[in-house]
Amino acid sequence: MVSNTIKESGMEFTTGNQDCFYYIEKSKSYQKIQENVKIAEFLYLRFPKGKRVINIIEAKTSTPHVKNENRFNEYIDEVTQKFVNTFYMYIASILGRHKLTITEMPQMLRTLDLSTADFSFVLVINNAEKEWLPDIKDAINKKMRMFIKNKIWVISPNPVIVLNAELALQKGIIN
Amino acid sequence: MITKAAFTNYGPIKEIKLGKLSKINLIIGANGSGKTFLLKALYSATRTLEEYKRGKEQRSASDILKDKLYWTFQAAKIGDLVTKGAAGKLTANINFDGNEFQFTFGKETARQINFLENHVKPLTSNSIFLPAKEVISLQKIILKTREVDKLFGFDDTYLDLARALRQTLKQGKNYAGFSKARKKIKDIVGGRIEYDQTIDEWIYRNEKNQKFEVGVTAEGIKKIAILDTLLGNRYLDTNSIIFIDEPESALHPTAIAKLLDIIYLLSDCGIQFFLASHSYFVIKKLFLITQEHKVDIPVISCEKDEWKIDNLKDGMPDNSIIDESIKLYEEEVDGSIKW
Repeated sequence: MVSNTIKESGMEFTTGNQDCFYYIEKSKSYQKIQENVKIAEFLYLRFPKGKRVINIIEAKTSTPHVKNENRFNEYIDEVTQKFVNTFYMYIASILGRHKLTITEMPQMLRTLDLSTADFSFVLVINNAEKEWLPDIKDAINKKMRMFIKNKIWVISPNPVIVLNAELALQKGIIN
Repeated sequence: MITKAAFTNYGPIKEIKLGKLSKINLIIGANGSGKTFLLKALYSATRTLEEYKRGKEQRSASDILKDKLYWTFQAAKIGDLVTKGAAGKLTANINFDGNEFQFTFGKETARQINFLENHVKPLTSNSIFLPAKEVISLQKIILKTREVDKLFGFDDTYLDLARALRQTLKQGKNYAGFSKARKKIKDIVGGRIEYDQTIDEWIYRNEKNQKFEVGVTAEGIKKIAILDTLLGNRYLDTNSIIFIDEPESALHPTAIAKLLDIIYLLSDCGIQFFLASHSYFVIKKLFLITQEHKVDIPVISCEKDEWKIDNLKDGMPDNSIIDESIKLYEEEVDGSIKW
């Protein structure tokens, strides 16, 4: 097991177990299609209480104010797109649609039994007050409603998590 | 408009100094912290000056105040309003547009206020206190209990409101802002509450012109409709002060937000508001109003007997209501991610 960290949006993420970590944004598979598709930073597989949860992590330096409606909506749209695109990119990779996957995605993620694995969509914002976070989470949840609620993927009903640097530090997600 | 106020040894309020009050003022704090008490303290003083020298009123300001305090707080003697165990007297100093109204009395005071000094000209407007519960269904009982039986039970905030609602709607041009506010209220409640003189009862008339007994009308509708009636019967004018205890009670968050937009609209017409709340929605919505309209909203908060005043325009205040909301979110996050 190789321990590592990555830097994104002015934060240093701890990705202790490299077998569970996939830097999808820097992957060659993504480099080939990136012109049209925005995706999140990385995937990190965790095992809380014996479950298997694939965390899709997006990092942001800051957030527009909720009152700046246009900018805020654009921001929420962008984050939501990244989460959903990353999810599809991962599934497509598992299905062998991206041939480079076999060489760059850790085996644990590549061979994971997805029938019971769950997904979390985690946005970490470096500069954000704690009291802003519920609004951002609610806005992303609302935007992802069809994706979450249509039951096609049978994703848990509350998969979006929004953290600021302070909370991410408390959780050990960043150093 | 009340521009400043200071009280010492006033019931649960040991000491409070309120400077730079604005058109909308928010009072927040835990249950029992004295929010409603503070509202009533400001209301009693305001109504005293509104009744003073009105029409053929002969009572002195001191006599009006003592009656107002007695019937608003319904203590056996007004000296009971002095903070229990306090060494000093109760003192109140309220500033209306730069002019001071102050009074002092001790715990032995039964019915006579020791000291009162008034530099405020008699106020010609009517101010009102809207309690947490609606009073439309209770109007007749309130009037009988107070006017006929002369009993405690419904304090002066209820009696004044029950009387104010007795005034009939006036035709003709109202203030433009009031008409706009009434239209918005009508949109929220999907109709209007009206007094039907033929049956001597309040009724709810929906947008399809169907009538319903007020008893089967939702509490929230009746509560908002009170404001509509007071704007429509011209009890209120642009110099009135409205004291609202728990504007959030019986209202859906969407209706709370709309009501607060109406409050902003009326404040822009000149009405001053004092709102006592422990709702995160109310604080958040008022915060958004400060950001959108660039207005000051002082937020007066009490934590462990200490009162402080912040400006919502500068951000959400540090307060247990805000902290609780954040704590809930932290708990939610705590249960949803393990690294």
